[in-house]
Amino acid sequence: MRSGILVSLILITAICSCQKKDSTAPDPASVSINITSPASGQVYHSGDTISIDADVTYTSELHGYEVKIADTASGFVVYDDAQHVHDDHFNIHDKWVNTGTQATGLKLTLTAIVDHDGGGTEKNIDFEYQP
Amino acid sequence: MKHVLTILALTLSIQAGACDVCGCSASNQYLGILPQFQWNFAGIQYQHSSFSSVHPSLFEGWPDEHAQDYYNTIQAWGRYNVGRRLQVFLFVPYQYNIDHADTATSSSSGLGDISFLVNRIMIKDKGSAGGWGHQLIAGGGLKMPTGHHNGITTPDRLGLPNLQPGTGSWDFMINANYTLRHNKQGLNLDAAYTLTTANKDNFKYGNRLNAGLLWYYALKFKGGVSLLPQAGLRYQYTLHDYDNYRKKWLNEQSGGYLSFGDVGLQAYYKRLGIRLDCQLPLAQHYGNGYVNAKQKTEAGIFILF
Repeated sequence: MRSGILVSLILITAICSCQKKDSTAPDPASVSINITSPASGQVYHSGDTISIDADVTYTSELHGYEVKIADTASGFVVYDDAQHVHDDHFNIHDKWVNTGTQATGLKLTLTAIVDHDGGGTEKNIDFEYQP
Repeated sequence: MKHVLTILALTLSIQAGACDVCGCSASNQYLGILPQFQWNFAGIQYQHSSFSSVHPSLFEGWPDEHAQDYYNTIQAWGRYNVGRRLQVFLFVPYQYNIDHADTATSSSSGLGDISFLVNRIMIKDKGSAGGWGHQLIAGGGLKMPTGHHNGITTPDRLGLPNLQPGTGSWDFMINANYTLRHNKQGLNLDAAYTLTTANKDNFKYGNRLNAGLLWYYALKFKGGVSLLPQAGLRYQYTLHDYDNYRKKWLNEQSGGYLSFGDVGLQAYYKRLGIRLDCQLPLAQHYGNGYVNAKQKTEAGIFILF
């Protein structure tokens, strides 16, 4: 009986040591990014709150995202946020207030990451800032 | 003395969580070497462990993030004999954990996951005086999700799921413990395995094996005082976590092995006992190499009754 118990414990341990994994190959092209705000071509003025709203979905596990807003003239990044998220879908709701003094074009880039090597896909939205 | 120490060492491993490259244990406890079978006991123990980790950035232009994590557990625990062959252990931990990252410091505290064990004495051979003796106990138990747990998604945005006092999951533990004694010294070999289940967020912490080999020597003094120095090795192997167990999203940047050199001392005066223990890492590969365990220390006091 004693040896039976010990053998059972060893078998349970061995069985529970097997780990299955999702074998879906990373495919950045199948990531769906829907940016609902800001809208393309939308114009913002000094002190306006720019809402950054987006939905991201994928067929397997996403690992994170980065939202970046850059001045299209200078390339200077004026807003940058990155987060780890482990899910096959998530929503982004961020806010940013621009207090710049010069009119310029802005580009929002949302990058969704699909693996631990930083592989991902991105979507861009161009909008305007006129103080 | 009546307090001839029949040694029972029992090591438990209670799993914890992991973010991308963590997997450090938020509650990883050891009973250590305990006095003889027939006594019940109740005690308090303190455990401290620390890890350093590097979170490689997923995003271009963002630096890797470094962190120092400190895990502290104050635990009420005890053993109660039921009949001649069964022993019941109960553990009630309180956690206080701190994360010092490059960009922020966070902490979390609260009641941890309460667990219990029921062990059966399989072999109990005291042997002749001054001769050989040995004993084997084995059994299992349950860890309950009583500790505070926020879920995975929210803290994971901060990279801090390990800091939570609770895991949110029901976990099963099995263990076996063998002691061989000759005169005043002996060897103890123990192994404990934790089988985890997914919590309500479908996050599943990796199953964990914890094993140890300890040598000890019993020194008795007049007046009912005895000392028990001990030294040995400990080994811990943890499987990968699942970010989502239902979808089989395996986090291959979690889990790994840790091995420690272990030195400790116990002191007994009549029915009062204290213990100190220190473990230093010897070799390790944890969290895909991004996590480094540092020393562990433990101290406790207990009363036999």
